[in-house]
Amino acid sequence: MTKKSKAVISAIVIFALASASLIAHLWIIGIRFDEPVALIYRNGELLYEIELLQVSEPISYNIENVSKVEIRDGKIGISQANCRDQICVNMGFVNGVVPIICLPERIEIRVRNNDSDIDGVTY
Amino acid sequence: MKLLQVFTLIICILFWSNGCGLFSKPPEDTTVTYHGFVMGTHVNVSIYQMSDSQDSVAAANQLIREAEMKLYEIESIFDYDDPDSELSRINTTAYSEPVEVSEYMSELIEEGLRMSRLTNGAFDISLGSLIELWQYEQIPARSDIDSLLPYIGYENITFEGGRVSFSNERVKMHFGGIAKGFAVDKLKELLVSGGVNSAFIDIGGEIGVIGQTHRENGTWRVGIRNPHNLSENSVVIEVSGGTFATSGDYERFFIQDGEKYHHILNRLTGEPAVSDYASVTIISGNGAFSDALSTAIFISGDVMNDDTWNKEGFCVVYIFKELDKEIESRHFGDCDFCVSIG
Repeated sequence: MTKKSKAVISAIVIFALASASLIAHLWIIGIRFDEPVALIYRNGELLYEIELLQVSEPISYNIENVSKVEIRDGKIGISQANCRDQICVNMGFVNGVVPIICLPERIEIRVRNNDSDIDGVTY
Repeated sequence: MKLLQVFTLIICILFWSNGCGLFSKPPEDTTVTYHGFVMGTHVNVSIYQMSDSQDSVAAANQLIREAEMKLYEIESIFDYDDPDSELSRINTTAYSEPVEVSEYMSELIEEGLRMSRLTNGAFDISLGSLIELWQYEQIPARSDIDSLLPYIGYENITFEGGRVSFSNERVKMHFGGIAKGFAVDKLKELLVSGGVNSAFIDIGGEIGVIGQTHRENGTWRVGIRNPHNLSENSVVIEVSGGTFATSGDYERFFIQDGEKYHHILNRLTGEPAVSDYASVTIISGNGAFSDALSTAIFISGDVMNDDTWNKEGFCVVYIFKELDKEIESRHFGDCDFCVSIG
């Protein structure tokens, strides 16, 4: 093998590795930052982290027997809750920056969405 | 060979850029975030950037731990329902003898009394007994309310030389309408003194911002939740600093006989305030001020004359109960941090 062909093969290998690394990196960024991710907390502890657009069929989560959280059509909401005021249920389904908070049951749902141009919500 | 060198150089750049995060988000996107449930509400603190880039994540983590401790400290002082809190100790003993108070208690009594006077009692820190009467989520007997009203009013509280005393044993302080804003102030102080350049604090919807964002103009964008459709924002405020507080009748309430009874009480009637507003938001440089004033305006409308308003410096956003009434906003005094509302 000539010196030149060795160099070409090395370059191809390096290029392939770099491309694979770059694609993997962009893919990870895409998952982490570009798609809306729902974060479900109870008492400040993260219970679930769900990529909303990856949920193709409606799905529900039973949160410690006090609330039922549902995901459908790329949105998340609390469909049932033990609390008296039912404010969390009445908020409906969200896919943006407005958080769903159930104060009596200490449940918080936030959607992390890097496309959002809002930093937070006052209420 | 020249072509090969260029090719190799491109590959090196690809490696370098990938490794350096040229394709990733800027470093100010969430260095460290804290989620918790303190002071009866959810808390979210995000530190985006430290002034000293060396060991910034470790420093931010340390500050987050200190912030959490600070919140628990504030809760242990002002929790009305905790019999071991400093507030409970004061509420049970300040009638019989003046009680010496802690530094934070002193600060908040002073600010609470100042806001009570400024708003002619629309905001009032003496509503403890009345709030207790309503906390069981049923309408109290009118006679019980009437028997309490003579003891409601900040005029019944004396604070001198770091000691607080009450005029009657039924007088009780409650800081529900101001303590969260105060906590935002304290966290801001802690983070700034710890070298934070950029951070976002959210304590149950009371918001404080520090420094700038990664946006071109560096501003923060904060939505005001639509009281008529809770999954949306009514309006977005762009600010370069300050603290936000919102008071409305849609967050905490109970329904009895088809009527809604919310948690913001009018000291004159002893009942939930009847307001033209669905929510009132204040943006100012002082979280305790924003918190107290949003409550006062929700209860009594514009409670001060313009001269008083202008000395303070803040923006106010009114969202009305009537759906066809447009959102209004006003600026008072120096509130340059309010970049745009809309």
